[in-house]
Amino acid sequence: MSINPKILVVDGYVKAARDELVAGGAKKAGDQYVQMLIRINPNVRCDIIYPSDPGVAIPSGITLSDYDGVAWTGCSLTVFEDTPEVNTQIDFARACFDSGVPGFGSCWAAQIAVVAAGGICRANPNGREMGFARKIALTNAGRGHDMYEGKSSVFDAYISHVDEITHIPAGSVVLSGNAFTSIQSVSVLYKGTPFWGLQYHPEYDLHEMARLTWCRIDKLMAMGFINDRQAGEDYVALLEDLFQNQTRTDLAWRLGIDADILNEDVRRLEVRNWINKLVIPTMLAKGKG
Amino acid sequence: MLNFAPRILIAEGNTKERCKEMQAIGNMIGSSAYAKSIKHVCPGVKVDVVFAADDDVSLPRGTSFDDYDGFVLGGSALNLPTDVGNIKITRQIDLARAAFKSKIPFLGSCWGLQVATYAAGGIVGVNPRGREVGIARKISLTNSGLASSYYEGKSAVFDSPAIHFDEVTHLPAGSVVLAENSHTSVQAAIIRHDGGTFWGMQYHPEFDLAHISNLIKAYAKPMIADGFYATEQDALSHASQMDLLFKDTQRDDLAWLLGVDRDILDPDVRLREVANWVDQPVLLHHLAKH
Repeated sequence: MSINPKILVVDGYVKAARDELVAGGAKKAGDQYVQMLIRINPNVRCDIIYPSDPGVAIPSGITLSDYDGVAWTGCSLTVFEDTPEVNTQIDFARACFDSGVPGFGSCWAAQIAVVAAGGICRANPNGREMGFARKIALTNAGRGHDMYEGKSSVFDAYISHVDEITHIPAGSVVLSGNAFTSIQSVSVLYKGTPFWGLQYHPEYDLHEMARLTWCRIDKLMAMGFINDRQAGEDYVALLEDLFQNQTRTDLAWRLGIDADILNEDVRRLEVRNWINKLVIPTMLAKGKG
Repeated sequence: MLNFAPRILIAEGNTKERCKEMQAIGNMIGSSAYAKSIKHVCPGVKVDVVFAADDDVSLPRGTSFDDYDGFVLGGSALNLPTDVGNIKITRQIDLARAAFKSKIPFLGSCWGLQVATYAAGGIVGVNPRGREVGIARKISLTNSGLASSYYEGKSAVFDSPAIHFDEVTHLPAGSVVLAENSHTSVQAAIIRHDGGTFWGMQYHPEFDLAHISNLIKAYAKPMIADGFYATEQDALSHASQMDLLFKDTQRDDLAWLLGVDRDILDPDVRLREVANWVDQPVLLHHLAKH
């Protein structure tokens, strides 16, 4: 008998931001997440919601507890701005904690889970961390955490963010950090419901990072990552070239990246562990297997 | 910056022939890179150099280890696993054993770590993961490393310049591994032997980005054969990005492109271990004598 976890994927981007990414050749964040979850476990069934869209029906109560997991994507909103899109999602994150359904997510997702549970996020004084987050080191708690079983103690990951978690709520544990961002992952336990959040993006691949970088070239120029448009286009081309030719060790070496970034099984181990060690055991405990 | 005047003996691990090749590509020889680095952290230092591979007399004429406060053995293109009987190597093993016996504070990078390992009864092998070159990434301190005074003020995880084929596979009894990464399981260690204490790194904190760039230019052809570059033009363009960043470390765009940070670019961060060695065992040794 197969176990078919039912996952609700929450894509928090507003429609204009989603359209901008798609116009630049990127996938929508929610679609990326669904694709990742199904590659990890083909038995997973996913629904996507876009809570930033006006009038969208947000599941609650029994509808929500019908799911076996809630997986949140990244998002270009700012979690400490008081806007309807943000507030709707903080309320929804609280409803998820009330529901007892295990949560997971990248970037914005970790931030919103922390804020919903009483923690604080702010603009990172180091600025934007973009492309590859380097030298992420597990804390001692991280080394012992189910999410990181089988992961190296130090690794690199895809990243793109300007905000960071500054204060975790009671009941949360910091699992990793690097020199740029002191909280790179967190395990939140709130109202008895666990949420595993990453500041980085296991769902990305080189192509998606190339497209995101392309969409952000103007911003990256303004922030000094690249000096001119051509340098940005060259960098995007380098990423795309390696994506098309994964055996080009020379290109990987030029970028200073290794299997942490390039090997999908290494990169997405946290997500696999979430499904196998949190989602499915929770289903079995509820008699849903 | 340290304010005392220790006397340090630096042994050049390369043959004189190899030193000429290094100078021909515009690089300092290893002993000079070390002398420059130690002067950076301790401007009052007095340095003597011996050419340990070539000279029959292993110490400068008329001196013994007792005349020095510290002894350094740096890198070399010699290879212990494949060439251990070579007199250019055995001379250096004998010198390392004499250094242990004298109890002088003993520091080494790369070849220095390998020779000290062998001299104390450990084993050095060819690294099955091949050449680690340019930048050794994600070097991680062990718990012993985190607690070690050698790494006081260093991050728990860091990058450092590196170039090596061989690695320490078996440390002698009484040794402590201080750092590791996924390419090389012994990136730094303390070795205690015959009453002396050696501390060494597989990586090269004494190299700056310009030195790495010159190595890439010099080794472009073998690096192409090893798969690091597709063409010579790629190697040269990579090296020239490093040169530009070395000349202007404010070029955040190049640092981002190359994936390097203060671990490589800031000599005070890169040389923290060397500063700690001078500031602790060398200073203590110096004070005990004066």
